[in-house]
Amino acid sequence: MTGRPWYEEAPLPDLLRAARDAYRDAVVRALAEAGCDDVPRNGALVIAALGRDTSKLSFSPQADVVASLGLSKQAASQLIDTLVLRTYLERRVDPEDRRRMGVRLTSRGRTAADAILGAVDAVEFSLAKLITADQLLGLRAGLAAFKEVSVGHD
Amino acid sequence: MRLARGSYKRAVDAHYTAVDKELERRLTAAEIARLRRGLAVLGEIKQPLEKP
Repeated sequence: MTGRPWYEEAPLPDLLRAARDAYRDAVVRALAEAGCDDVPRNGALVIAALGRDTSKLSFSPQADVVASLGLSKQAASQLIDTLVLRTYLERRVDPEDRRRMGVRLTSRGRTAADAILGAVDAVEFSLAKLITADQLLGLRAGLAAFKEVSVGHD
Repeated sequence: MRLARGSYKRAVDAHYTAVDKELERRLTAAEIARLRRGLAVLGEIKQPLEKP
């Protein structure tokens, strides 16, 4: 026994997975409670990104909405197709550039977005009660460093 | 190309080690400790949650 906290020895990938699961479980539960239990894999990320956008009535370029997901063009297109089919998104041809598509949330999509963002807030509210502000800043700095490492490996 | 199970595990372990080393280069020991603590607490958050 070293007396050190268990998380100082645990592999970082295990800690990251468990932390991600806290968000995933909260989002899955909130979506089910809101009657939105058919959101596809990665769909919550698209819906949340559009839900954070303050100009909710305007269409966002489809390519921008899926850019951060790291999906192939075909997989991204299939994801948007599914979200449109399940009535979370509305899609139209960009009137200013007919080669581009725009998407925005439907009423059901806004319901889902509110559920997702509320679940994320609830996780962060719980977290803020369990660790110090300094630890929270450290967590964010560490995750940002992870993101930079990830970008460096692309 | 498909890797044999042993080769795959070695490749994954090598990648994890490289990421850990890169993280140690970018963060101080205290920052890594805060990252570990935060991730551990996040991972132990159970549902249902209290709303803010």
